[in-house]
Amino acid sequence: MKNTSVTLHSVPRLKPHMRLRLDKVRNVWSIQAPEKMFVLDAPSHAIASRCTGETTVERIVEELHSIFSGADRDTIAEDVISQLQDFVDKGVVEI
Amino acid sequence: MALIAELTHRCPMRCPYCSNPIELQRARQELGTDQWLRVISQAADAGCMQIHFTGGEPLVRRDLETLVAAAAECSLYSNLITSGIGLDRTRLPALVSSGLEHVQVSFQHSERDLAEHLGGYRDALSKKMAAANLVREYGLPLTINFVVHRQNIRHASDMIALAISLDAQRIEIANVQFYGWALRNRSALIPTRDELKELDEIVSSARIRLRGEITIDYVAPDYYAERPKACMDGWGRRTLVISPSGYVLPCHAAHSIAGMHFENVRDGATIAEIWKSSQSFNQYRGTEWMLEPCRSCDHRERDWGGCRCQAFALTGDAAKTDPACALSAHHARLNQIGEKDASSQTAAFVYRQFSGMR
Repeated sequence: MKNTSVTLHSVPRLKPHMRLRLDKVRNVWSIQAPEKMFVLDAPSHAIASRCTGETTVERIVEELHSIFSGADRDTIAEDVISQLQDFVDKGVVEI
Repeated sequence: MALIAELTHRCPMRCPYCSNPIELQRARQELGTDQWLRVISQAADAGCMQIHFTGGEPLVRRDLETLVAAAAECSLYSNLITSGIGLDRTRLPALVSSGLEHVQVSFQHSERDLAEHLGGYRDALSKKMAAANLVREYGLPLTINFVVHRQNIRHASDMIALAISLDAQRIEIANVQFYGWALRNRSALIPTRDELKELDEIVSSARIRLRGEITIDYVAPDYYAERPKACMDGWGRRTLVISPSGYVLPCHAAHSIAGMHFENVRDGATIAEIWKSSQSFNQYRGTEWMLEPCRSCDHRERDWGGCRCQAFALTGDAAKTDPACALSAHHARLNQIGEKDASSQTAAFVYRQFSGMR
């Protein structure tokens, strides 16, 4: 069985058949999945677009911390891990 | 928002639970290539992000590749919903290079003879397996779909195992929905409560086992439910269906609601206009149309009152609460029908066919 628990050391990657697409009519980002779509708010888009298979969760947290500088780093780390865990459980992201 | 493009009702299979209407539309009534191309670009303009090419068997349309290319051009996520019959080394590569992004192949059973019997098509299982293998060979994600009913429900574990062996990324276990052909064949198809309980356990444990690797989507049964399904995620909320002859419908079965008028793309209105302003899409959209007990129910924006077509079929009024809901006045009767039909010993059904054919 695959390891499916997200940690700071995980390297998340959007599964190859998931498509990150802009909904131009509503101006929101979304993940298009087989017979499903996930609408993304700004923070979840910031996370999803960094799931390239080349960046650790820790690094993603750093990047988001520099963008959303008002927020506390530990809170961001918690939010990123819980969002990624949700993506993994839904089969959108692999680690 | 998603467009379900029912390109044709023609199909080599004859499944007795087909979701197509009893009155099938014939080839000469089908929209032409240019009409579909217009529909596809209008659907993207209206805000559709996905397109599901289905039927009937969409592969019987020789212009499928052209339509898939048009969808890719508009950045629509394209999905082919197929029996697998005809998905060969000529068609699949052409579809892939046209931009197809996902394929769903339906299976009737994990055993050869029963698959052949249930689909009414010779050697269906091995043809479907070959098609599914080809999809993975070309690197496309694959969904394996099983419609589950009394004549295959006890083989659910085998069917899940088959899907895993075919390297599916997603498995759809859909309890048969009783509209059209399935409603006609209900007494041969509806499972017992015990069989459903066992299925629930099999699906739940498979979901845990496969979490993060294979997505399992489960369509719950209506007749023994306590709460209705959020049919189509609500009327006119996320999905539109276009029938082979061009009718624009809020769901596959909407035509079964007697007295309703539906727009046709041949009559000139755009998809966005029909989606936003047509009487048919607004009729049961949101919650304003609801009667009690839906109107004041806490679940009204979760299940949207269930299914309009089922409400119409079982109560004669599409605005009533779906009888699958325990709060419906017709719920007890629905349970009784389910139990009575499930206890019938018949395995005999009529195959799907065009009217006037024998």
